[in-house]
Amino acid sequence: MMKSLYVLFNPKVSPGKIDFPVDGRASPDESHFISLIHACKETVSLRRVHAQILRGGVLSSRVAAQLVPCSSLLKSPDYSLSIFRHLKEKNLFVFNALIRGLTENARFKCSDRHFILMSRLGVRPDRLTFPFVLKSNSKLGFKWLGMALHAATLKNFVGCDDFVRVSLVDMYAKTGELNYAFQVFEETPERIKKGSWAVHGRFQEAILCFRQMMYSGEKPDEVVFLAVLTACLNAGEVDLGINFFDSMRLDYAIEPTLKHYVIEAPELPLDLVTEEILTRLPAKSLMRFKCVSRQWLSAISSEYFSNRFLTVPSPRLYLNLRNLDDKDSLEILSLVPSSTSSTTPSSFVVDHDLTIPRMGGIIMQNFLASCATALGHQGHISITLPQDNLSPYP
Amino acid sequence: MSKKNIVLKSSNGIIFEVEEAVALQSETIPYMIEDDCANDTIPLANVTGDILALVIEYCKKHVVVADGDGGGSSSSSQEDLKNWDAQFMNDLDQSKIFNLLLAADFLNIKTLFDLTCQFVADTMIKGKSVEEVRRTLNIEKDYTSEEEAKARQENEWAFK
Repeated sequence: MMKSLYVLFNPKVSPGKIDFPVDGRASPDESHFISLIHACKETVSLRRVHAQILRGGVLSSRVAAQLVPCSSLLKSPDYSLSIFRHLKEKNLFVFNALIRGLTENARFKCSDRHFILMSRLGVRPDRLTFPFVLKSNSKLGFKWLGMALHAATLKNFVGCDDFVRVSLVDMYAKTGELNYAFQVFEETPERIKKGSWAVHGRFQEAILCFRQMMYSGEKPDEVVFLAVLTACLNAGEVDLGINFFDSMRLDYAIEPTLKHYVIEAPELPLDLVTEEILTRLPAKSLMRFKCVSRQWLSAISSEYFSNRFLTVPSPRLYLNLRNLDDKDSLEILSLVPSSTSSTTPSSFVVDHDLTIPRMGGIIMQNFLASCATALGHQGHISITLPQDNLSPYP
Repeated sequence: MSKKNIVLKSSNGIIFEVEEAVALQSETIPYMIEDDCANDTIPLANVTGDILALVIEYCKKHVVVADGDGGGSSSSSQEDLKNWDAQFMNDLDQSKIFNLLLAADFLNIKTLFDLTCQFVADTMIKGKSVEEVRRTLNIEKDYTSEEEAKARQENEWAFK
């Protein structure tokens, strides 16, 4: 075993030279691979071990659950995503590892999308999942999704966990929902001990929380509805659930979604679509498809995406609006010239009405600019807008 | 290069024997080959037989051109290859294309992956309406009507 370990971690040895101690009968089993995975110090060696595992047969989810966090630790979230994509059996451990890895590598939106995928595949999150999802959400400032998560934590009986609760308080505080932060905080101590009663009680709270939301005139969305419906179901309030369901359709005009239908094969994994296919579209279609779904919107406006967009399939010019005061939260890709010729154009004209309410409350109207620059691969230029084109949001 | 053959086995047990140069366009396969076993089958648990056949057809075509490349006629052969690629993709239905894309990703065949992604982007997404895209890619509409209207308004220029 030692010899093969040495070979695996020497990157100069050609891949073909890797061999396991083949003394006739002993073929490497899961535990060998797991210890090998843990010994990997760089992505190259991890890739080799991975290939050997594939070679040996189907990748078991137990091994994958080790592989995914290791690649995240090695700072290659893309690699963990690709391992994940080709895994047949996606279980809780793998999801946890992936979500944690993505969150730690600051790929919050992606982590969020996988959490949604998780619920779609019917994998129940546990107490190790929530802290990371909540962290992602507080970074992203998605209030409603956070609330839905809260309801989901209640649903999954993990509401009693202090670890989760701390993340919840944190998330509510960051997204400006101080009332909820207090609420969670207040309900912390005694009820933990009250076992089954608490479980029931918490479902009621979820429903209560939802009702308050309705009375305060705020529009719940589909995600919140899903959460509250599940809460109703678990609390035995089937009639109430049906009421909510009807009100979802009639009062809020939300069509019940296809969640109950079996998804037709084959379906492309979301991250593959957003990161590989969408980056190949011209800007105009891209801006149109922000309207396809929230996950697409989130993917298209992420910083990671616009960085990728610059290089895939070939370097392109684009205009990117960024709020300099708060560069974490806002980054909007705005325009790329249509590639009419084979050469990369070095200048382009922006001639559309840049009325983008999300940009820090400033409307930029009829901004006509022509910028010529020899922009390199990762170069950024900033354009100063003429003062009279900037008007404060009315 | 020696004319060594490599045996690939699809998930449904179909065996393909290909020249090494053909198989090595995949960046995953080299990692799976072991030196000592000469007639060794490489199991590809994520790729079915019909898709693997397509992958191999593509790789065979491209390996020939890669060999002949470097001569004076490279631009015309590049042109031929492009046409061949276009024809190759046009003959496939959506389910085949998606599976091919996934296989290219799994096997890490960069050119095929680029080709399929670009094809999907160009034919199934670009220039289509939002609704058509949702239908083709089986995406749930998770916007409320109001939110969708708002998103449309923000990006109004793109709909013209």
